[in-house]
Amino acid sequence: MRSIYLNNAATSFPKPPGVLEALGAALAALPGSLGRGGGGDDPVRRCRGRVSRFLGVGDPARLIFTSGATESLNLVVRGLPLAGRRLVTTAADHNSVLRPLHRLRDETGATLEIVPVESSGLVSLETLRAAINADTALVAVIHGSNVTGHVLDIAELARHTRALGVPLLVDAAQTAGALPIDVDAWGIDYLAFTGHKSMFGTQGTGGLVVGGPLAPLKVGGTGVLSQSLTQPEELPLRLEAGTPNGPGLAALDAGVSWIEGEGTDALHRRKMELAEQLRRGLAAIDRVRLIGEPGELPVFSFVVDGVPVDELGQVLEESFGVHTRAGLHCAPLIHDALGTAPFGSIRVSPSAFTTAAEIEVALSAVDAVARSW
Amino acid sequence: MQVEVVHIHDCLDGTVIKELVLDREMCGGFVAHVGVLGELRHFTEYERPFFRVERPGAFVLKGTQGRRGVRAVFHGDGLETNLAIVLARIRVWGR
Repeated sequence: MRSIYLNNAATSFPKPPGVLEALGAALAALPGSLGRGGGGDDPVRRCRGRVSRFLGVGDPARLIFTSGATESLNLVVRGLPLAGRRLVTTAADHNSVLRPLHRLRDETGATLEIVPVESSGLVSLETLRAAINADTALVAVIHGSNVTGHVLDIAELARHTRALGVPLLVDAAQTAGALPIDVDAWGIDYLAFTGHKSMFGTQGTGGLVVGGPLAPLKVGGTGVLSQSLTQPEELPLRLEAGTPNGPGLAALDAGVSWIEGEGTDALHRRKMELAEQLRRGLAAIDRVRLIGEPGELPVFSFVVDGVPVDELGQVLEESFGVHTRAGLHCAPLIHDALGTAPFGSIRVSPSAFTTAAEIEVALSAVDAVARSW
Repeated sequence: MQVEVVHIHDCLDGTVIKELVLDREMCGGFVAHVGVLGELRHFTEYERPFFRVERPGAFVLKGTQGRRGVRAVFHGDGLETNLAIVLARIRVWGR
């Protein structure tokens, strides 16, 4: 059975030309002093430079590589002096933000303000701004929703947090590689990203752009300054203990290089056309209910009234080869606002490699289920 | 038939989800065989036919012909008893 992959919001597939080759070449090459000033064609240094430019970060040393967005977000939440302080997030956020913040609240007595999501799926920037005051110690928000595809105006939000002197942590898991991001120009303090979604790298890669003091989550070997028994102070070494994922970062470098060649805007337009084709087609199927208003990312959710969400996901995948994501998408609070709790929805997310013909096959599959159930 | 039981997770609503991994692919005969455990819905018109067997208040079994995994959702109390009923029925298939 052929496979139609509409789950790129989880992990992008397939990877573009050059990524597999870069991964293979890195594994086939002699291991060097990755990211440790070894010189030569160091994939870690090359990737750090490319991703920094790509995200609008002037100083590559401020870009820390991690295992992914979750580690990056935890690094900030655990690395800032937030115990007992006031924190702000939104109901659109992913558990990779919500769980670290709730743990901090439970362990330290910090207060957590969760700005609601409107029934359209949007977070009101006005409501969010109103929730932030000079006592706020951190604002942690998702840039683009992995459920509705709605995007928050981060540049506008950062103007407000900067004026109040409140650190802003942005979860760019869905947007890095998908939309232009300019960390320095927008005034973002901390930006977490993952490598395996729209940046076309492998799972287990990601990073954090660091705009202020941060205590490390882990300390250990850095390959240089080894005579010191304390962690070096300078970035990126301070926050990058341990051997980096060299092959993974070589693949990430190739993925971002491919995006640069194609153009972020051109790829985005292509994906949005496919998402619109999918959205239009679904809207025409009896009993299909689209969730929320259309967003700015090629990601959205739907349900088929009368068909359990988990079974719909299972049938689409096993009976028709259409791969979606069923459930709460690790974002439980947004489903309360959207009326899709407790079972969630079916999320679809095409990539630039999805074809219009594949979208039609997926629509036929949903139609077949809706008619027969 | 041999069956491996893989625990998937405990849900907040008290249900328990398990994957029943069979030693061979499911066919229409197998679906009819387990269908007697409850109310059977068999979607034979799909590219790969799907089935669900529901015994209200006890369990729902869901699977696809041509595959080896049955997704089993057990409700509330009586997990051990209901799991035993399902496994006993599956294990005698093909004898």
